Amino acid sequence: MPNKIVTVIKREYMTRVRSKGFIVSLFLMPVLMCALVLLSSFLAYVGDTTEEMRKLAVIDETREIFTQMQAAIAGHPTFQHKGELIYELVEESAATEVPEITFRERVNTKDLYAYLAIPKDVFANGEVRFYARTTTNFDVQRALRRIISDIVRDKRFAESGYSQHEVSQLMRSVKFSAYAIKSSKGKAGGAEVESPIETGARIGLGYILVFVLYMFVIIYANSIMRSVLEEKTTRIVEVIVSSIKPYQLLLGKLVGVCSVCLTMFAIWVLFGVLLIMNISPLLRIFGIESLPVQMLQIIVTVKVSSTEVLIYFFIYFIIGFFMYSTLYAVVGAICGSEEEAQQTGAPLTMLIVVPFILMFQLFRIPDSTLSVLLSHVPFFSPILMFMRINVLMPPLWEILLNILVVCTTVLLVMLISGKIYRVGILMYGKRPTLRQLWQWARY
Amino acid sequence: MSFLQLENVHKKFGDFTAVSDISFAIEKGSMYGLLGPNGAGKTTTLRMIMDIIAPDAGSITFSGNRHVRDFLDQIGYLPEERGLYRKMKVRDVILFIAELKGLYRQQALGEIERWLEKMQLSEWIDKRVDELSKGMAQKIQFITTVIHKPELIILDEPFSGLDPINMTLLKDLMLELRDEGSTIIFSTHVMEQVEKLCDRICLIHQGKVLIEDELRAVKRAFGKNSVEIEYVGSLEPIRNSDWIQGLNDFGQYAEVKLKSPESYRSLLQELVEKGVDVTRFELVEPTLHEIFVQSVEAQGGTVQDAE
Repeated sequence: MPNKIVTVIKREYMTRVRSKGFIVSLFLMPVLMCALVLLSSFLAYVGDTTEEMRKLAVIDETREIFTQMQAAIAGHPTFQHKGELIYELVEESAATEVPEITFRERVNTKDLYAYLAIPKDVFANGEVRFYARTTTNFDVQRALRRIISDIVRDKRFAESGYSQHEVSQLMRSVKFSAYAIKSSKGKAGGAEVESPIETGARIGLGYILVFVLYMFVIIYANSIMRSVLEEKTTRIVEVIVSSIKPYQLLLGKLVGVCSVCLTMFAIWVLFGVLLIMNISPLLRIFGIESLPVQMLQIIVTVKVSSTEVLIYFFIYFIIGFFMYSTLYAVVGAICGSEEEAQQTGAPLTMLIVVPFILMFQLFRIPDSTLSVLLSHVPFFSPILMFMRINVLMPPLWEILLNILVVCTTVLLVMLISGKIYRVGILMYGKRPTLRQLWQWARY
Repeated sequence: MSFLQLENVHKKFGDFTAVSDISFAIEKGSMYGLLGPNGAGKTTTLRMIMDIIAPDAGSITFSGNRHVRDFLDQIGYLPEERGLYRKMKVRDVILFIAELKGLYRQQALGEIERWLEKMQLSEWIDKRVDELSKGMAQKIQFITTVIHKPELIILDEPFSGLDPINMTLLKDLMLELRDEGSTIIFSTHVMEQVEKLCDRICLIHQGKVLIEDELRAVKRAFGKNSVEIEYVGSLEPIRNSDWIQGLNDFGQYAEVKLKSPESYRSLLQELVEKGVDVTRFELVEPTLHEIFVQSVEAQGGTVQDAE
């Protein structure tokens, strides 16, 4: 007798792996991922892309800062586009007694990009005010602040009798680099440190992995929801559950789809390993003999740290996948149409979107009580605990405990969901109320 | 001990009684028809037999065993609303369900080819389900129902949506399967479809059994109270005859329902006396639909939804 769960797994797996979608994602995802990274760094590099001239009015009550500003702006990259200066400073003498309100009007009608009010007492303690239609142009603000600060500071120094040269000598900033101390793990020779590049590479890898985990869990949990819904609306589920138990169908479906994801990851990892191992001959094809030291450092870091991180990635992906997909399967089972399912599923999406958003803040304070507590909330663990592992490795016992707790939760979720699923897939008509769901779960 | 037995089965959905005190037994190797208008409780009954929904009261036994689930591999079930995985190929979808029913791959592949040939669908084996016409998909689904040679075949409205040719094909297949030893229970709301097909029938209306007996016995009990007349000219002279309960005149042919089975003699006499040129006069059995309508009316009800 063939094993029937295997039959279900096989169907889920084969139909998906053979589909065009799988092949496309297999190639497109890494390309998109690279494109995203490149695009964001490109945007950061390019910054402001406007080419039209922007007028910046300066109401200079001191009557001496404006000229120096003009000189400083001419040589400042923030105010240039493709080497051309795109900001024009217009001096507006305070003596003309033009009320500020007219400047505001001119900004509003886009005659002026912005205007700047420099008070007489700026050398003492006065506040420089910047007015524009939006104040999210932080680059411009930062540059202006810097320029005016320098002018004011130079003036203060000059009045105290220091020369320009002396000032720049004295005002040099300190070189500052951050080194992460690696946990020594009982190794001889004490704790080692990590260079900023190594840290960057390691965290970057972790960041990509968290992103992949998040994306795949969401995409494939939704795919499972639609698949359950398809079986329900086409009534094929009646034929299936007249052959196997509903929980077998659900389990087979989850394992099948999870295997699809793992297959894709495995192919990527294999490809990545091959790429890194053969990096020099590959580069030689493109005529590149040697890489910059930093690149080599990044490659070495990825090589060293990826094994451990990947193991945790697979563990937390599988856990997260089963946790969310089971819930989504239930949503599919209790709804009658795709629209209804999307609506019902929306609150569930929060369970994975919330930790993903929190992660951007929490990764700066990985060992704070808040981070630790949140990372142990079972529904958040796949993202937040995995984030902690990437940023600052928690003690092994804590990870193992977390895996144990989360696995238990997943089993509980699957147990309850299985019961609701069993009833739901064969029920048509009105979506059940929470109370009914509770009854089904205890049934 | 009957092959499949239902005893005093009840099912309520909220306040609505879908099935009320239904009992019947099906013998091995017979064809059983569950007949009734839409909403009579046929699908609910079949779903309870399949253990898809649980009855509120009563028992359903399969060879004396209450756990139908233990025998699922020996049952083939065609649900009322049809559906297959639309994106899968015909072969794969049949193979999937055959494997779920316990067939081995090689065995199943052979059966698939044999059945597709029988259904004249061989050239569709590598096509996707969503490329098939509705009737073809329905035939494919019938294959998935019987491919594992089940002992019990449950078909919910198997004829709905089929053209006359496919309907005949399906009827022949069902008889063939029965003759090979399968027990078949099927439901339909179009009662004419099953005349002479069933060994035994159960007429249900509003969740209750109206008549449950062998088809022959049912027909005999209601006697031959219908007459078919072919004539030349006009039937006008006998339109208000005392012997006629109902008349359906088609111009040269008429179906007459008699007040009592014995009154055919008097009617014939009257036709002759009034000079109607009769070319054929034949006593016929009542149709199941007529029997159904009569039974409902006998219980003081009316038939609203009997096509």
